[in-house]
Amino acid sequence: MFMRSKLIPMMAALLLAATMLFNGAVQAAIAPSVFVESLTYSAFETLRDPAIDEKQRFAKFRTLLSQHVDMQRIGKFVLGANWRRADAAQQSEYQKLFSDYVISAYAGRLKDYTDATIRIKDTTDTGKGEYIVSTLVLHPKNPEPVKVDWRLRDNAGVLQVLDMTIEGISMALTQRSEFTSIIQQNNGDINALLARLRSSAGAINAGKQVSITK
Amino acid sequence: MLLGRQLYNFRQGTGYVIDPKLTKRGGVSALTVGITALLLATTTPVIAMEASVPDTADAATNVEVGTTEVNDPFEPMNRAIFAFNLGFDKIILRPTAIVYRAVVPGPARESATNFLDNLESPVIFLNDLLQGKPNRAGNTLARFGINTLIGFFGFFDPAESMGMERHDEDFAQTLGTWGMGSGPYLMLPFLGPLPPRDAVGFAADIFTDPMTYILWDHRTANLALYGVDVVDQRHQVIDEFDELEKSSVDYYAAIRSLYTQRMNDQIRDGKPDLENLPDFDN
Repeated sequence: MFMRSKLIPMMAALLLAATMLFNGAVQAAIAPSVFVESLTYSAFETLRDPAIDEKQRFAKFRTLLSQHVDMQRIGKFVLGANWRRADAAQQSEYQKLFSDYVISAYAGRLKDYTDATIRIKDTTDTGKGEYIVSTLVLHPKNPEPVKVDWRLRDNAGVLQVLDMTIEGISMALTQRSEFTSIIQQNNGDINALLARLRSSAGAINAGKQVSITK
Repeated sequence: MLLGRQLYNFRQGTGYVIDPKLTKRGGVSALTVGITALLLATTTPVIAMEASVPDTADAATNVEVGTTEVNDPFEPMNRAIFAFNLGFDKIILRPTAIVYRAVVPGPARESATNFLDNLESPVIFLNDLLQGKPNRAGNTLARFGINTLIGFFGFFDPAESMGMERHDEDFAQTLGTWGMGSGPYLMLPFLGPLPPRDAVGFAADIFTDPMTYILWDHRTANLALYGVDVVDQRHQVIDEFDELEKSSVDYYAAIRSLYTQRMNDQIRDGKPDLENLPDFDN
């Protein structure tokens, strides 16, 4: 079992690497479960790789996430109705800041979980070009496995992550309630959220881990 | 903010603390509620914002929260009760839980949890049946028999190592599976989040719990059990909720979102809700 759990993500990573060399048509052939296994495997590998320094690690992690996570769509969703109230300049700055923020937040938080293993339970095809891959994440720290569902979308032949649901709690929805609340607390001023994200970006550049809500 | 690590660890946190189901153990249910409530208290920034939000937030953001998140028409009152619950937690519940964790050895705490979990079995069994899930009912029954008989009245959980995993059910979830919506979000003193559907479920759980009748005439024993139950629940999530409170911009809103999402997840027994996936395209 130990062998198996190590082998599968490795093969998955190879498969993904191989398919990325080809064009979109080939990529579409990746099974959603393989996508999830290879993505998590690559993410954990990047975060624990002893051969690279922190700067390279972050850069690598950013490349990985920007490629396999549908940041634009998620960012728009998370801003909710405020998206339409934002002008074009605010929208484009927000998208950039949001993606940096997510990458940094996840890099920091996943760090403690690099020795976690992931077990695929099943895949549901929603029939709308989307898939839900149900997984269990096992970690020595947690006595019980944690249930994580990955919502993937097929964007013109390329699978990308749309949302992650941990024990029934959607990251996108939860993040949205947080952002909405920040804007509300500032009398509906979207710039208040941007300011928070901007200062977190400053901290990221200074090499710090960030939570905008602290 | 609530991404990643907190939620990674959150399984127990949400399971135990935010759920009305806690409230049903051993007829002591009211206690549990207290714990739940405590968790919900607000932080300073939140309190500051309470005053400003209702009148100043613009219409667009209000609608946003109302339609995509939770129906919360009594928000100002709910926030006040939440603040009260949080205060109670700060002063009494959390300190007690911290002492409990420091003083009682891990294995003893685990046994207490197992014992209290086992006492919930009749209510879980009943609701398995009410939801028409005979396999899960069988699992609950077998676990109860094994853990009571070989597990020394439930202090140990041998059934788990035999591959029989524990699951929860309660009448609020049963009503949910029958198609009943939760109604408006409600925060109750000591009891925590308890919208009408879940309040009805909570009451039904007390009335269908054998412990309610077994301990009917033993007020002291009932209170003691209740007390242990509350502390048992609270001590399991000390760190999770500390972290959540620290990192939330709006602790009240965070709890409200988590409670609602988690309850819906439990009603579906953890299966993804394909009909109501968040809409990323509008």
